[in-house]
Amino acid sequence: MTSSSIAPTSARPVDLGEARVRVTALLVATMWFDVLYGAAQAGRAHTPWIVALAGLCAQLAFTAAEAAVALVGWRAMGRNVRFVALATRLLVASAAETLAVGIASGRTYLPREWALLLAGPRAVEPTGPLHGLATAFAATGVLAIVRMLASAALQARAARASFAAALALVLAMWLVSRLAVWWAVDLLQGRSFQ
Amino acid sequence: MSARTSTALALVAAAVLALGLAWWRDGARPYETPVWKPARFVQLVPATKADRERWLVAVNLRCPHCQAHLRALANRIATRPRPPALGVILVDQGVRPKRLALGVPLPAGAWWDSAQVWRDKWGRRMYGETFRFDTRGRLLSATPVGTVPDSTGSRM
Repeated sequence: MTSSSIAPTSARPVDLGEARVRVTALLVATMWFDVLYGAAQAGRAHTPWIVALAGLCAQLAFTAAEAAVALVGWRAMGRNVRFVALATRLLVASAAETLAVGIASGRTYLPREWALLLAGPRAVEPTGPLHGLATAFAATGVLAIVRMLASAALQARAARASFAAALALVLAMWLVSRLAVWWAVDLLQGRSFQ
Repeated sequence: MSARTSTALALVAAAVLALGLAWWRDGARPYETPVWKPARFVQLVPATKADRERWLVAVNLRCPHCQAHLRALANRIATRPRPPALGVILVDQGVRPKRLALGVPLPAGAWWDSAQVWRDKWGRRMYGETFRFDTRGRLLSATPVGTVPDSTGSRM
């Protein structure tokens, strides 16, 4: 009689949901590169791929910073979320923004009213110099709202919290960041153009 | 809430509050409406035409962008039958420049802002801003780089 024993595996089970989020985040990163490359071409940049690469790095850095702040926010609410989980989900949620950037850069053609509705005031040519308040809310359109709702839904699942709590955090972060942009642009511009 | 989280939240709040305070203080500070008074500036190139509008571009010598705007503006108005007098105000320039080669004629002259009038009295901060003054030195408009001052809807 022979006996065999199977050694228990020590490998962790693969989290398919997390893997899916990471693959989607990777796809969104390529979408960002593509849309930034198109915007650089439309803007007649000398080396569009360098501009697009720099833009992608800036976008990833911005997402990392956003995730770091969100992490602090979740911890303040008593939820423990991993940084990587937040960063990948924020990148996935920014997919809506890639379409908005495509519209604003003129790469995706839409009638003026639709462009304004979807991508915000930045999608239409400004007639004069922008001021802080206008600059801060220039990207506010339907796609920005979609991004916030998607971000809240994804973060709520990652933090095992309610959608309302996640939306409150996302809206608070968005409003504070808009205030910071408003004030920073006003300070940089001073009384110029007045 | 852990001590690290509290510290991080306090730092973010402090940074936003500091920015807001700086914004509020700057907004409350009274600045002068620009009026062209040559006596407040040091003349580097004399003005040769005083009988027409003056368009003075705020130029910093380390800013190629605003110098390109100056050249584009000079080209744009060169074909006009009675062009405005173009000139420059050299701003954020600590020492008097030894030579000035901006590559365009400057009938409104070149003026060194040695007293920081542009920044400290007028509250201006954007290089390349073009001031359009009438013959009496009153400000008609102030426009950003890339804009023709007397037709603000027109981009260069």
